[in-house]
Amino acid sequence: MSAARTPGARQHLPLLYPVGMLTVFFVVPFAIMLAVSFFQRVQGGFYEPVATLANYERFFSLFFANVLGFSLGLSALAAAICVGLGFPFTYFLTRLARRRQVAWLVFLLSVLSLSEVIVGFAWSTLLSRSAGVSNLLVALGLLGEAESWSPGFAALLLGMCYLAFPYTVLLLYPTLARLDRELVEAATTLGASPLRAFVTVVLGVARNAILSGLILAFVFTLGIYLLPQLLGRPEHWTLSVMITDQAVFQSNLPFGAAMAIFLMLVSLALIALTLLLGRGRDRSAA
Amino acid sequence: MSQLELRSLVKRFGATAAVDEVSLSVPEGEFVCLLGPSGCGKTTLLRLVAGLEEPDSGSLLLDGTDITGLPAHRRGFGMVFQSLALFPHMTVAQNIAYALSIRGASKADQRRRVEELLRLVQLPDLAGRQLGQLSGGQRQRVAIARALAVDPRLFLLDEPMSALDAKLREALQLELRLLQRRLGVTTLLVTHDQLEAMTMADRIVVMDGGRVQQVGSPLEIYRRPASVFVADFIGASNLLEGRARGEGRIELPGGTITVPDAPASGAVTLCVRPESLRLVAADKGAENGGAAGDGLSGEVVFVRDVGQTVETHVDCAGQRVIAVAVPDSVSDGGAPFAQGAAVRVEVPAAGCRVFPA
Repeated sequence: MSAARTPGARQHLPLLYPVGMLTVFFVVPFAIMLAVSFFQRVQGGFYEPVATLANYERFFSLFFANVLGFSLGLSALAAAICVGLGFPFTYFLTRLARRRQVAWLVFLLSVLSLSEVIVGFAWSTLLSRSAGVSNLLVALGLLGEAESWSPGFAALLLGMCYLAFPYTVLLLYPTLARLDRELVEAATTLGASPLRAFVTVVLGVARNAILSGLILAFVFTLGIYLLPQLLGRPEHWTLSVMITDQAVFQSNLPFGAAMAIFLMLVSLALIALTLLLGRGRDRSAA
Repeated sequence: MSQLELRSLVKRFGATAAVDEVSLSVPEGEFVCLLGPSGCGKTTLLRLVAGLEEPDSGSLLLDGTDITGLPAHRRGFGMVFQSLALFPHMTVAQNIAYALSIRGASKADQRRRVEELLRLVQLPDLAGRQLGQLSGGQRQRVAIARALAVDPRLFLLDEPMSALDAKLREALQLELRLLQRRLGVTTLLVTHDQLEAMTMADRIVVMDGGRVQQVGSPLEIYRRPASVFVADFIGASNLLEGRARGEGRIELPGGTITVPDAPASGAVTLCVRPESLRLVAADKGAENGGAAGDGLSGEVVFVRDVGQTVETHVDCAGQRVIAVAVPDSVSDGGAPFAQGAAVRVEVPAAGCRVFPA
């Protein structure tokens, strides 16, 4: 019996590697953060391991509620824009010749190689009064005089969408590329106008990809913490900015950790809600 | 349940004409098969009728009304695609009810019609199933039911059976034919399988190179092919190269035969079905005497005896001739000829078609 068990155990040996890496680099740091969020801050120092809920209590204020609300709203809006633009974009992309598709995908992937810092500074320059695109519009006679569009809410939203858009497209691409064109034709022969066929068949088949795209863009933009400082005003600072501020500049690690945990719980709850709604519609339709 | 007429339809893709001046008239309630090798334009022709492609020239008439410019979703045709194109995110019932829901039918009406259609295609009680839970044959029937949901004016099928195994395909062909007869719906089916076409069609349209090669009933096309291409494509044929010698006499390797309507001179191709040929032992043919002059002599090189039929390959002076017979009539004694036997192939003039080569 032991002879039979040994090779089985050995077969599972390679699994130890990912499990070990995950433990060392994810579970342990996360556990530390979770623990720290319940510790007490030492003014001018680090923290001491005294169990307290003070960090979470401090969070329940109108100020942080507003910041949280703004962060979630901004990310939701950015996710909606990314999928709203990304879906038709990807749909038409998959209808192009193979070579053109590859060119577009390579371009999108190369955008991913730009860091948040570079993208932030590039957009703040492009949207500035002295060197921005408004000068071009003035030259074309479309605008009276050069304007500054950054910092501002629109600039921040634009920057976030710019970062999340390639991910959204790459996530939608496989589903839409595999979509059988005969499905749309079948809908047409059954009496659906082209628009109706698109809504009932293409959107229907791609529903899961759309949901994943929304969640991905939402979670991704929620973690962006440099752009609000580069492209937004202080009132546009998101919870991620606050967490960085507390952890790095105020050296209040316990409060930063508490906010991070809370943000994570809220976004998990929202994702669960989204999935539940998605599945609920599926079941009622069946 | 309508009469369809195609007038000189042309559809080009780049420089090649996929459909080249096709004219065809399909009477009400008829089952027509478009038959041809892949790339012959049969699917493009069907897509033109469905409105999924626009013709470069020519026109389409349905009951005398020009529908050439009518978009596909206003034609009211039912179509079954080669891939079936069932909507993967919908249940069986939702798939079948799709056309009804587009037309705004009430939920109760939809449910009633779905049940009716599922009974029609012999799949009761499957309405709530997901597509993944169905077998290939069941999916096939769902696709047929979906296309028939709103009593289509025209029923179009594009190689609908190509994904099924042979036994299931045969059963469904028969079933589909009976269903079509019961509903009386004018039907166009595309296939490359000549047996499928012969099983189901009232009329077969043989296509090649974007053009119609022959239109006729299955038997007409089988017995009187209009060209060497049709003779070769439909069923098995012996295509024998020879020379016309006048007065209907044709000189072939291994002998000369007489076919009344043969051309007076020049190179010809003689088409004759394997089952039209009769084999007799060489010495017996000579004894009878009368048979001499309208047969070919040769040597048996291969015998495929599958019980139901016996296929005998005869080498007649370098040209291979295949004869098929039911066992008892293969030879005088009832037993197949042995390999190497000298035989005489009797070629009856009635079974022959002669084309200038």
